[in-house]
Amino acid sequence: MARWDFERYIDELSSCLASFNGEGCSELLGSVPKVPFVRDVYERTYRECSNRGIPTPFDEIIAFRVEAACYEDKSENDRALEFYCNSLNCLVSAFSEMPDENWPLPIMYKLCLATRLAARRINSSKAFERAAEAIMACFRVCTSDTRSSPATSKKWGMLYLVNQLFKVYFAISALHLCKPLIRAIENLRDVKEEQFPLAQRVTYRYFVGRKAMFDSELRNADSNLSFAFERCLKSSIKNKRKILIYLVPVRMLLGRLPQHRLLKKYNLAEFDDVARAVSAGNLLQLDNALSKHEHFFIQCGVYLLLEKLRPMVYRTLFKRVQRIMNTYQIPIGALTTALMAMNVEDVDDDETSCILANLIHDGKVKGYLSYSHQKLVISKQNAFPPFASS
Amino acid sequence: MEKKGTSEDMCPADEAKIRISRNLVNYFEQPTDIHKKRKLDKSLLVKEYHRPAAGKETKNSELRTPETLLKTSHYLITKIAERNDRPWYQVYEFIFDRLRSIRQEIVIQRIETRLALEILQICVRFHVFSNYKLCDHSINEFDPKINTTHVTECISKSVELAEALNLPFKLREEMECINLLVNLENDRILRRALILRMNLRRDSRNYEMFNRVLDITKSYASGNFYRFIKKGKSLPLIYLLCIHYHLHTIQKKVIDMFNTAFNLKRFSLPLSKFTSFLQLNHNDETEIECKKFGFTIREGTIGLFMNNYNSSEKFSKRHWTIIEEELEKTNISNMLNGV
Repeated sequence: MARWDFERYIDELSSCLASFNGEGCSELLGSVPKVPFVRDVYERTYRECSNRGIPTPFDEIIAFRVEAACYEDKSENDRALEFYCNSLNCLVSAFSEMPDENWPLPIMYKLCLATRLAARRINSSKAFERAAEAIMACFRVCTSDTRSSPATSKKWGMLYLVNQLFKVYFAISALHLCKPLIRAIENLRDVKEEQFPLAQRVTYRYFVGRKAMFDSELRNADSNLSFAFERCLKSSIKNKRKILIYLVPVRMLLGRLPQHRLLKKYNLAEFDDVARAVSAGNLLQLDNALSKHEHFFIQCGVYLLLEKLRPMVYRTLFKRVQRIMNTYQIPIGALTTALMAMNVEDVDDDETSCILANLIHDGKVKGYLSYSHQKLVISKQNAFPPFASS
Repeated sequence: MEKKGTSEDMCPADEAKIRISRNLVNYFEQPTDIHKKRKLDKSLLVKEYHRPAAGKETKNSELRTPETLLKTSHYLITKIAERNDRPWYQVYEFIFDRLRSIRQEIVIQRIETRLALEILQICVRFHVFSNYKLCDHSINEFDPKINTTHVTECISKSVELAEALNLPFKLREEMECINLLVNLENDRILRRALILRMNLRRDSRNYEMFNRVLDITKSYASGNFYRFIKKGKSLPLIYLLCIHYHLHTIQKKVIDMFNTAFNLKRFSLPLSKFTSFLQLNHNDETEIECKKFGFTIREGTIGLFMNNYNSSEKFSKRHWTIIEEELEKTNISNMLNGV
């Protein structure tokens, strides 16, 4: 029975290949039926393929793919990864010799995906690097296709491959490798980013946004993550939540606090505590929120970003002191007292002055410091500008 | 082919022979009065650094055994580092070159043991210390950029190796702390440290110093330079040296900030206050620096006339009293050895 299944599988592959049906092949390569042989899997599959008239290199590609699946079943992930890489190598060398043809792209996608997932199962940087190398070879074939007409251009494969590479680079925190990829997409001429499938674009923008966030390019991060969030399929709550994990802190730093309703909908209450602390200027509450959810924030990689909200919290705290004292000349000592009340450990007037100097320098407070009077003299208009504008 | 050093001399025989015959012996390799002889002695030679030449096969006899590499490092940071018959920049140049050749052999022979780690740690301390010691030298005598490259390279290698060896955290703590303090502006390293601390908590092992350094680094990341310096000053010498590394950058940030924040037209800010905010050693230094930036000093106070501020100026790198005091009490070789 199993043998029959397998033969039919090869038959189906053969007819898809004969009609240049990349999608169909890709689907078939996604899941391999149980292999009827125990030994010499590669040779036997290869022979089956040849017997059914499957042309080179697809006979090799399929044989490597099937062998990889066998090792995967045995949880020998290192060997599985090796065979996936082999299958990709075969595809790459054949694909680069196929001018004006791009129908095998879906096959390439499927194999790249399988390669990356195999690396993820091993979960070592060496494995990820191995996968990245193989995917990169594919990427190179696609970028170097300058002759084909737009309809048959291999450049259509670039965005998918970039996304796969992003996933690998983020997994091994090698973000500096992302930059050349982004540049390659931005410099596309004959095909435009807007023309790629939306799903790929959403993924792409998600990673570009995260990368911008780590580079402290907040506005850039905001626009990319916002695109991803707005265009992401409504039903994929899980993906939308992933995007929000980065979009929420980025927007907070730009002075836009998230709505309670939104956080609740996507089960992100962790940010609620932070947002409330920021809006109230409550330093103590911020510290508590950060330490309470430290684990979550660190794992997502947004902890440091949230730390950078501190100056905004100082600003609001000082604004509240100013409201209470109702004066344009606030004694530094009063602000130090406020910081002490927020449990800032052994703070003194000099430190308060430095914090204020920093806020004034960054335009978060409008005014100046008078050393001889030990006072913060604030502007009579708009002394504490709203976050979004500063 | 796998390389395995066999030489037990600080300088393998072939090189020693050539260098003695051609009289290519460094000043620090010549016998001194304490050796009571004047003839060149090959046991005082230390293998030089050579750029890896393509296609050239290295013989095992040209490489030293791991134990010899460690012994040679110790020799350099005890016997040579304590020499004061020549200025430190020359001592530095010599030790730098010889340690570099040791590091090169660690790579060639793929030594990935605790012994290799010990050598790398010596290199880290040596380069961090030299960066301080030579900070006020001209570029002809000391190139801070090259030195920084080597600090970062050694530190990242030793952190990686210690992690791979799975050593107890106590033995990794010093390098993790230096890694943080040297790479203050590098968010990736800070993020890594946060994850590390999170995992340590689970193990509840002893990591008090790492915790302190991490908190200090966090205050820098959130822009509170005052707290960074205040808390940082209480750290042990090796970490003070790392903090000094960034001092002139911080001073620049502080003066930029103060220039916009304080009303300086009225000459109300005392010079001494500026000295302490800027972490300079004397009011005299503050006066020199402030004048460079376009400030005016009047009766012990600082002021600024309209738009005179010269924001493109930089602070000069200087030695720091707090470190000088510590160094007086410290034996250099012990410090480089991590004792």
